[in-house]
Amino acid sequence: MSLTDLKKSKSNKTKKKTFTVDEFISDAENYAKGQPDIVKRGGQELPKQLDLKQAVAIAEQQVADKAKAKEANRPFRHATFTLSEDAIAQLNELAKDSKLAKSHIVRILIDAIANKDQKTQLLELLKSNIQ
Amino acid sequence: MMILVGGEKGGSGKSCLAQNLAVYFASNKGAIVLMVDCDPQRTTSDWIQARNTDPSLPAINCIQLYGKIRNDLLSLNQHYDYVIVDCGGQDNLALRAAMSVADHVLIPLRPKRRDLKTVPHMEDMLSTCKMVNPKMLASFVITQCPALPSQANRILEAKEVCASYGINVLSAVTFNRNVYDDSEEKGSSVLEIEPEGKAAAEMVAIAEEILAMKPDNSHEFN
Repeated sequence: MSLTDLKKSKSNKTKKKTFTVDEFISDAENYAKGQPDIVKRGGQELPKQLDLKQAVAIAEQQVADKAKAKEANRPFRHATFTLSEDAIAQLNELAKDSKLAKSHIVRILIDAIANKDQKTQLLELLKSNIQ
Repeated sequence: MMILVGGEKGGSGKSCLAQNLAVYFASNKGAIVLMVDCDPQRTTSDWIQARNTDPSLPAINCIQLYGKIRNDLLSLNQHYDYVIVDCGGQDNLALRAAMSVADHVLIPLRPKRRDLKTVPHMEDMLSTCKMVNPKMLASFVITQCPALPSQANRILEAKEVCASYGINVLSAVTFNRNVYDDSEEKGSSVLEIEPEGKAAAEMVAIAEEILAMKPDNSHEFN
């Protein structure tokens, strides 16, 4: 990548105010505080950055936005269903054998049924004796 | 003569350049040389301490000064042939005080964007200082240049960037060489470790280019 874009673009010479050698030297302290008085780019005011209050307010807003986005993007949420004792026992056994979470097994089963074509789904539902 | 080696950018080789110039003046010119270390990191002071343990090397004196050192420098300059001031990589009181009395200001910069981005502030500081120190001659020096031929254009571009701000850029440059680092270990310099080497030639070229400059007495850079 070229460095030539860093060349001085235009001459914006501004007349400097009168100063002494000691003022020139002491201005280093103003520069260190971000408030140069004598040596400042072409006499222009430097672009203002955030002040302390603004920086804190922006950070708080970003934390809140992040929490909100996290909430909105959560893939799962709690759902409560009533199951028979047998179904609970079977689900427990399936979870133990497969080493999967019970909710994970339920999601797999729902997915399997929901993706089959309607005719097959209907037949399976009709065959089911589950109360 | 007082030579300030300074700038806003850390790691650009200020101490290395200051030390090698000091050796050049002490060895090649037989001059009485003082180094003024304004950097709290004390790189140059440590180097001198190591150097003074070897009596075969020409002696160079060293003093640490911080803050508003203008009057101290003016006084020291009367007693030494060459006073080389090594200022750390920031705009501070010592840098400006030294700039206000120096005959030459050398600002080493690597041909890198982050180094070249300090040029506008340095140019402003130099131009302002020139109003109170009209004899000052300021130059950028491109240091640690890549040796690969494919990167040669970066060196030319870096020089163009510096020159666009109306400040002199030395023709002589330094390349990225391990000998600069190796020589520093025992308080030595590239001029003493490899006097016929490429690094020594680079340092001689820089020193002689500075010495060949015509004196100035203007309140503005031409």
